[in-house]
Amino acid sequence: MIRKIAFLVTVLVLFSLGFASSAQDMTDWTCGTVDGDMAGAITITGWEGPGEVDKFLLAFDEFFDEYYPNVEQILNTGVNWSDYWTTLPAQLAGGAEIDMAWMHDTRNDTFAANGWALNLDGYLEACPIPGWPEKFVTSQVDAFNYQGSQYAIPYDLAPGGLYINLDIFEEAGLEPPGEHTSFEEFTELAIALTQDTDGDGDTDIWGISNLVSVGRGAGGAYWIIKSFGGDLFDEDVTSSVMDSPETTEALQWMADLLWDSGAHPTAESIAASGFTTEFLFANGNVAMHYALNDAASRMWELVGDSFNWTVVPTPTGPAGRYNFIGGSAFSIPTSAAHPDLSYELIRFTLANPDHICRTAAMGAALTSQSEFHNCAAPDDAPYADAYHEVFSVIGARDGVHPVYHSKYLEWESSVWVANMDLLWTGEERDAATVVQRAHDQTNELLGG
Amino acid sequence: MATASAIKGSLFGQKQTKILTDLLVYAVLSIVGIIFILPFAWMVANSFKDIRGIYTYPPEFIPEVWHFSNYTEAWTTTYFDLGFLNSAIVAASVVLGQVFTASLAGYAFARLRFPGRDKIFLLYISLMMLPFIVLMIPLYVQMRAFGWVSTLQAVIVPFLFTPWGTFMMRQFMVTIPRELEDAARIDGCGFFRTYWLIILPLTKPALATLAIFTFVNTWNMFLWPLIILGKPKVKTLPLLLASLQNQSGMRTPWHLIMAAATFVVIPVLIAFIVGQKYYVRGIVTSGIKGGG
Repeated sequence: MIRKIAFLVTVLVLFSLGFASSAQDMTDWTCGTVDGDMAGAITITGWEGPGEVDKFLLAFDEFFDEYYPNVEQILNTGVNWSDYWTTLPAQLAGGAEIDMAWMHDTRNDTFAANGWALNLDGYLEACPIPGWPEKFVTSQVDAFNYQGSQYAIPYDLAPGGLYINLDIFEEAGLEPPGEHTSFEEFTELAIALTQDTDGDGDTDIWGISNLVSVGRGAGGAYWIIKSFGGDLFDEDVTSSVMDSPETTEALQWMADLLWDSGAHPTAESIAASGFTTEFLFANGNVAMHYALNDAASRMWELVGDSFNWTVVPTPTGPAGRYNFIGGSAFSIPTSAAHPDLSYELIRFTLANPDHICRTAAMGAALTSQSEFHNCAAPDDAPYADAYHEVFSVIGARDGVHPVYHSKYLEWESSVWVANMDLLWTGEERDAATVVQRAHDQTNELLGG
Repeated sequence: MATASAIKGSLFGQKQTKILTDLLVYAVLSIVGIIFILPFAWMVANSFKDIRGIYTYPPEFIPEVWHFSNYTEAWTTTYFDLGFLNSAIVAASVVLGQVFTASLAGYAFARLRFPGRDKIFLLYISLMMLPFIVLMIPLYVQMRAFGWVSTLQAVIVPFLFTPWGTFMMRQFMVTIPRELEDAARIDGCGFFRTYWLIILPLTKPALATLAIFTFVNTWNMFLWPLIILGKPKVKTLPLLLASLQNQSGMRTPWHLIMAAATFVVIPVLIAFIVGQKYYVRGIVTSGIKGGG
């Protein structure tokens, strides 16, 4: 009898332990608000196409296989960047039941202010994301925070740096720039590297490319403006501070690369070549090319064995060293049919350590959690060491971006691009004139 | 004799001048033709290169190595088989629907007498001035209410009616002699039988023009399908073509895009070649290049 009782007790204990351990698994990555037998479809949309999105899809599949096997994923990914930002607002304004949407830091405040993105504070409190926010890169957490509330959870960060053609430097007998190179030294280098190799009067090798681009948003110039000590808006984003001498000096420095020294290809010369500046670099027509970290894997493929290259940090200005940093996130639209499930999916995808490293390696991406940054560049990549130093360490440390307020998108297209393109196309050569006009228009917009 | 010779010389001179003028006209037309065909030829040439071949500097028109596999690779990269089927269903349905409704409405506006006819016609064709972008969100809300989001009927039904087509059909039908209808009436035909047996056969050229314009526009339709067709398996060809741009991360596979663009454009090209004269006539008749 005692043996029978002991056997029963043992069975019960083992059963309880087993149940407890499976329950533990469930509570690790679910929040207990969605029925595990739930059937239906979850709709996910994003701009990233197969090569980039696959890293997330693996996590999505694991999540649904494990916890919600009856839920079907409807993926509308790979929508072109510009098309995505046309269709998503139209869909959300029309009440589309999209459960999870890729979000970009430049758009977060606009979506939040328009009521299109769900405030995630309640979810973060009720079912915290492991490591949130201390393990996430602060700039990226802040980038998706609107008026003190979190509207999206960042999945990556993209700092800027300089891609260097080491062969051109070697032939010129010059050393590549470094973290402490000043803007004056950098300008001298860019000029010295600019060459007309065949003597036909046209530049064949430019010292620097892609620092200036027609139609580009303010993020591309902001780190230079900060390095010179300038800024765009006051702290409360109620008025412009663009008319400061520092901001003007920074923008004049950029314009001079095009129109004074000719060390940077103009839009006209880029169009005449029939290439993007990235391909001009890959073809050996550029000594230094400015780009974000995610260009590294493309460069590896494009340059091949044509020449030796590496990455270095952007220069240091009189006001310190800054570089651009951008990033993307996952958000839940307010019209989502299954917001609780979306939140669990985001939580699992961005915080489960079992697959974050794989996610980083698949896209050469710096994940929003810095402890996985070493996974971003494959060890066999010749640029791996420099990549980690330039982007993960210095890039993440010194990263800045403009304040993406709720009128930012309108301001960027109607004020920034409209005015700055005059400088970048050569219609206007004096930065002060352009800056003054942009300053006045900014105040008009922010005050309106 | 001298006069005959002078006339002959003058005729010869005239003939020479005509030959020279013709030569000049053909030379100019050939140059313009080459300019117009060059982007198309460039697309086809690039569809046979690899990605590095596309970015070779200076550019090479003829590929060094012909990569025929681009076509199979592009075809299998995404749901192009389903895309063709979807585009064919949408284009065929919209063409048939528009041809029917526009001809019927055109007949009513051209021939039937009812109070406010011309005012209604004016109101209807004034819809042509509404840019689609302002209709987008209300249409989305409507489709959502019908439960048609991500279904082909959402890209078919709203386009079954066309002010532009109605306008074109009406303009054509007013030129048909009334006597033919009177004869049909005497023989006992009602309005619909007159329309079906007498008017429709006489309006074949206009119907063909409308069908070709509608086919080309529907086959290439992008913005609305992009918004309403979220599920990959219901996407039409232009959407799949656009999605290729985002394949392989941020490395745009232009060689695959060019291959896909080549096979996507073939049905439109066939439609244009078959109905070229109607296409031109449509522009002349309505003064509008395409509609929709």
